[in-house]
Amino acid sequence: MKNLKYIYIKSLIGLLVVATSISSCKDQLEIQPLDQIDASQALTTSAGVSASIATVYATLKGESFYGNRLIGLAEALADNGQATNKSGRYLSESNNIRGAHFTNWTASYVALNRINIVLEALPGIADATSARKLQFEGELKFLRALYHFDLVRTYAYIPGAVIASQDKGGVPILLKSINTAAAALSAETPRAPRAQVYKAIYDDLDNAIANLGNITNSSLASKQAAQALYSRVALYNKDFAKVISVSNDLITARGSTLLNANNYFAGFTAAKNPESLFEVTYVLESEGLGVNVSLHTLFSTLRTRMGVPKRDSTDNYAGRTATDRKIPIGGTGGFGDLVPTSPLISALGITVTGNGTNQTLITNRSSDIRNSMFEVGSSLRSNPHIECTKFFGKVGFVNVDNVPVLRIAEAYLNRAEAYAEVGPQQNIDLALADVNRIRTNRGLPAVSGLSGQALIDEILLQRRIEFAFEGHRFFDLKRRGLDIFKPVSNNTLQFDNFVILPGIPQGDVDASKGIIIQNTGY
Amino acid sequence: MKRKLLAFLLLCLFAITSVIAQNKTITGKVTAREDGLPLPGVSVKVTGTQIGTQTDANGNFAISVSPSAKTLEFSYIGFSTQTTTIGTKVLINIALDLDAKQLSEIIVTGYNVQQKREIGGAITKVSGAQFENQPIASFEKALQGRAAGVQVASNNGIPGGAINVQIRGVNSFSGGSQPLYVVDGVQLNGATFAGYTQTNTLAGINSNDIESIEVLKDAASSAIYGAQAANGVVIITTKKGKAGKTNFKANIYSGTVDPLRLIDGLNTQEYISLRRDALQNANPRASATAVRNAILTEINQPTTLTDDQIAALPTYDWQREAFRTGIVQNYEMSASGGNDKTIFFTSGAFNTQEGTVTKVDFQRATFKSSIEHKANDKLTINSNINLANIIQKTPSLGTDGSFLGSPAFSSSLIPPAIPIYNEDGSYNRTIPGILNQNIILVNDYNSGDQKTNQLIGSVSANYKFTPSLSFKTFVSAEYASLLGQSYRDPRTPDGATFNGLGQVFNNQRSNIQTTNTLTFAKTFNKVHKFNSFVGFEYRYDKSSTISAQGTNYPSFLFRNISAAGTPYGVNQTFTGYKQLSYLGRVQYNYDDKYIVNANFRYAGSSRFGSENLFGFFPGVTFAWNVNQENFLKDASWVNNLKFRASYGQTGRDAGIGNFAARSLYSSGPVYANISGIFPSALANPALAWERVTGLDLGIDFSLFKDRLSGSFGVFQNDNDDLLLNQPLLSTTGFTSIATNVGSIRAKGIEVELTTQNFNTKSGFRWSTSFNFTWTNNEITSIYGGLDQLPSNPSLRVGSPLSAVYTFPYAGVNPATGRPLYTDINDNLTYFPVAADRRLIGQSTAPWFGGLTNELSFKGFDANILFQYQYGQILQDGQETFLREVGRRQFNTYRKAYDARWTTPGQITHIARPYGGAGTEPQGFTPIGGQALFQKTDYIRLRTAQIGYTVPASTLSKIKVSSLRVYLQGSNLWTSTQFNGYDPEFSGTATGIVPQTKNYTFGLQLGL
Repeated sequence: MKNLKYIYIKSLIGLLVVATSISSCKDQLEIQPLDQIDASQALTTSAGVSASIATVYATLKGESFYGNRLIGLAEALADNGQATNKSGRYLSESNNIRGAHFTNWTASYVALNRINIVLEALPGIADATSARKLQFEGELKFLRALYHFDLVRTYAYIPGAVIASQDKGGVPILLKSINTAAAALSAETPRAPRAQVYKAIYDDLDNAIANLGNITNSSLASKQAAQALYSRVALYNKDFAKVISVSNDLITARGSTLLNANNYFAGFTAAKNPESLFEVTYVLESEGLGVNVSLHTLFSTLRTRMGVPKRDSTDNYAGRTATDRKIPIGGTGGFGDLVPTSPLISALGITVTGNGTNQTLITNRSSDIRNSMFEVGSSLRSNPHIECTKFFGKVGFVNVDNVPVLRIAEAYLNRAEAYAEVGPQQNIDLALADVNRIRTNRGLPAVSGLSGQALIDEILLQRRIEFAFEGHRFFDLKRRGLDIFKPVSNNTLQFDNFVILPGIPQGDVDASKGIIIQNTGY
Repeated sequence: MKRKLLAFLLLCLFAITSVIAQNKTITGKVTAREDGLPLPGVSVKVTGTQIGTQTDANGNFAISVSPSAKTLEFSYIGFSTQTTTIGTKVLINIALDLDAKQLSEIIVTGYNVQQKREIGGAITKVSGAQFENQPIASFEKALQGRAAGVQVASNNGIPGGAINVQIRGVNSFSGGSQPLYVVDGVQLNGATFAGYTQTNTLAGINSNDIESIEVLKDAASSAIYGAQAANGVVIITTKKGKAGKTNFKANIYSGTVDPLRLIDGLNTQEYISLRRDALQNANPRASATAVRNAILTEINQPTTLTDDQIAALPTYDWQREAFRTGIVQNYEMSASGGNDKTIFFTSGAFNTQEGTVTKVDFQRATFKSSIEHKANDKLTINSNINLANIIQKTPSLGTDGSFLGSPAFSSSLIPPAIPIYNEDGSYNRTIPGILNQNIILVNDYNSGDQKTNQLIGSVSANYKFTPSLSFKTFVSAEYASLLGQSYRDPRTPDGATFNGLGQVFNNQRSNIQTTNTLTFAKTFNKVHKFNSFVGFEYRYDKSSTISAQGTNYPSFLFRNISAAGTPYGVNQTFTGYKQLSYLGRVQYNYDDKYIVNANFRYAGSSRFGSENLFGFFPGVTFAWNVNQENFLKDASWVNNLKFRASYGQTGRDAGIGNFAARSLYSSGPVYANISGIFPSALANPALAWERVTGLDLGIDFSLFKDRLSGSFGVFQNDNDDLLLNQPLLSTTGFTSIATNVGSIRAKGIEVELTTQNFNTKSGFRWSTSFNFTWTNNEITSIYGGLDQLPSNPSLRVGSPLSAVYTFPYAGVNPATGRPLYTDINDNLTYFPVAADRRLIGQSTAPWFGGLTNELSFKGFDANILFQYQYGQILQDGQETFLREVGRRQFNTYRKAYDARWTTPGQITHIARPYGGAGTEPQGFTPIGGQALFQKTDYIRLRTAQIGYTVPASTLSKIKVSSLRVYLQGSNLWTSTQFNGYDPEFSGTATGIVPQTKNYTFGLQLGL
């Protein structure tokens, strides 16, 4: 018994010793998060830099960016897309309801800060050559330009098309990183004047063009991707000489990739479009945005393509009857919430009867090969419409598609418009040559004798057809200050209506203490 | 050696007695009157002397008494003390009565046990007997309506699913309301794992193994648990053995589970006419024929149907097909007993609960063992093991949400004109419209289950150095392993996208704890009682998960992920935290009149920032037993009267992510085969617990021979340093940072009353218990002088935390049928703007409580519990879909259909049917703002039980010691204005399996 007692006293003392030793040592509360690493270790190697850049690209895949809204809204808010109410999505957007608008604000600034953090860490990377560092820098500057440009073209008026009474300037520019809580809590980021934003984008693109190599993979930034973006930024900025100079360089390098009527269908149904200079890409099935959000589901109810349409007025698809056409062989896939409006269908050269009824039928197609990307949808989701099939699970999985952001065709149309505009750079012949290059490559006859507004109209029409359901139309109308005719309601949305601009997230406006000024009407 | 000593002492004693010689020896046996079993360890004492002994293992005793001894006193914990005259007797057999009151007077307060009269804090005790045999998967549900200040709501009707417990409300922006659960000293993780279904880890404890539940509500009492206790502490004590003859008990029940209610939807003809109105209203220029044809096409009918044919179309009841009557079964055996050295309790149970939707069935096997052994006078060892094996089937598309293929979501919404089966009995696969999946097929074809193996075990040793000084060391482990799999059949629409999608996960959790305490308890001069302890505690809680998904299965017959042709994803996660604490308590009791208790905890957690690793949490309670004062000693109508007060500080760390204080990089995004990393959070080295400072005052009383007893209490809790993901300007590149800002003041009143209405000689007893709680809070500050949170305008200074700020709904314009809202100037508008939002209610119920009646008469007993809540408005996502009146291709519930605007001049609150976008031009949605919300006030007959205990006289013939049969029902009746499936839910109601009602019949047998 004594022994037992002795043991207990001994162990009690032992426990007390343990207790005190624990108290003297905070190590007992030490625990490492195995899923994460300490920020100080993250950007010390080029692998860390590559991985950080991958995240900045990956944001572009999201719903608020090229995965859905930057593409879909540009059709819905304009005169290209109408909502079908198959799942209820895009109803408000296609009716230009206040608040149903672009949503890329918050995630863009998160990406911009990540870009700046990496840019500032670059000099300290030990395992990269200076050439590699310049390549990283060019890549990051291209991305920074793209994010700033997408922000300024959505949230602000575009130069030359401004309603002065409603104008609140550009958007905040982020060129320095915020790394600490103190910096984040005290940050002041006012809306910069529009010109300053375009200047910052120009600077970044100049740097990207200088530092980036030639295109080898359209998933990633390249010299040509930067030129293509520059061409568009300059066009929006009404800087026509710049449009022509960067487009010339780009077309010299990549003009030959423009598809023609024989290889257009193959190119546009391939996983990667051969015309692409920059394409937001998805590799794995799990990267897709799924049956509710993907562009495939947004634009189409179909899961399987009918086949190559023949130019035939009685039977668009060899071997199938009109009834077959309504029940697709692969079954119903997505929702098909946003479909082409009748003016767009006409512009595409498609003749349709009973569109949106249970008798929807394509009776004729023009020689414009671009209409091969449009079909009658499935009747299983309620009455079928003509749908766009540019996004069709092309990566190899349903609901997973790469999204072309910059294609070579745009360089021709940008340059055509720059030549057509009044100014020292004006050259009607070259403008016609560029627009005819597009027309003839797409199976249409060349046009001649156009000038002035008629020429501009033809260029804009070709842009509308060429980039239908690729996220251009709303911006093309907006940058020219044009009213939007809404075919479904037969109304016209005036350009001075405040809903042309989205509201800035109210939380940022409230928290900025008056520095970030809300757009008119919100 | 000990034995020799004892023999020597006895010898001495006998020697002495023999010297005195006139003494006589009395022998006898002590039994319990309840079951006639012998009671070992009963103290037998000559009244007024120190002369005494104890009964042996068979209840026998022998005591030598002097001729002057008049009476013998028999006392034993849990039994009424009895005194008997000695007279000339030499054999005294005595039967002791159970003293229920005495048992209820012992309160487990965390780390030790106190007498009820010593308690100065707000603690409610619920005994296991009160909820015995309720068909509940997890015990927290048993607190519903039974404890003032405690509010319980099921998230849904999934057996074993999540249950929301709020003790004195929700008083934190991000720390939730889940209290700390402590089972026999083991602090549980208490998590509900949401894998493919909800697995509530508390469901691993069989509620019938529970002896009592104590709820620590006030800050001072909870402060002993430090930074994890601000949401209150629920202490569960499981059953232990009792020395004496071994008791065997068998317990069997079986019964049915049914949906609480089904939505009263429209028939096919009503549906068609409603859709026609909606489309016509939205397209006034369309011809009636075009609209008619569109509707017929929409429901897969030819446009050539005549009106008579339309009138003859059948109605298909998808709800009847999706919901069913389930079966509940429970089989249970326990054995308990022991002797003066060792006591044990062991039980095993098997429980199955079918859900009202086929894929949420629950099956559980539990095993419990509790052994306590006195190695010698000084050393006691104790071990407790609770094992559980749970198998849950998983709903094929998650536990909530608007999944088109989910029967819980879609069954009430699919247009009634759509057939479920083809004429040949096969599934109808051509389902038109938005809800284009045959949910019965989807539910049938998809499969999955979630299996949990769980252990809660502890070992402790208590060593008494002296009668007043002892040391206890306690080591415990809570361990859970979850294995889940889910399969989306390629024959279902969602599965077809992937050609079959299989998912598996394995989650391992462990929670290791050791508590070591040194206790000193001594009474000086009979009136100065000290009871104190100091200790330290260490806890390490971690969880790791691996999961994998695969697609592209060869056929639906292959369901294991190894058959998947294409890997879809793999994941591994880890999280955990460590806690280290020093704690102690000092209690001074002066003659049971004045009791002062002070406790503290100095607690560190790995969750806190490096500048605030440890926090100090003190509590002081004071109790004054007025009835012990001389001026009340003669007042026979006062049995107990106690004033209590407590003041303390406790903490809440639940809202802090395990690594939230650090600046970290995470992985996750992938681009072009490159795996990305990103800065996921900004460091905040000052990150700390939320601090709750609470004042609590109360009166506990028992009057008129205990005919009326109860307690009144009030409290005020100041919640400071509240953790908030403080929104940052998104132009900083971060959206928020976890900081300690903001304050909330919570107040409340708690009332508990019990009356003994009847207790007649004929054996009729009727008692009523009533409890009532009012509790509410107010945000007193946010940060930086803001009076509302920029990202969430409902979060405002001066309003309750659960305030709902939105546009007031003004009903329908009688002239046009369009929805009207009230603007900030009280004018009516079709289109409210942000500035028009006002406080229209709150999403937590400030008033709630319960009412229990217990009756018994000659073997019959009844127990009826009503539970109520008042003052809450909630948005029921399912109900708002059902109220669209033809906007989209959904069925509508009849009340909304009947109330819809149809004719000018009609005054109603349901706008005219309007198809398409549902929103009229230049208008606002009819189901927006206040119109989204409904009152959830209800009174519910929560449980009712009627039992009959067969008399012992009958049973003795068949060698059975007890037999009771009973009928039990839960959720039998509800009074509410609520239009959805059920006003009781927490979180979202969209697509949840609703709660159920059930009836069971049971049998309890004792051997």
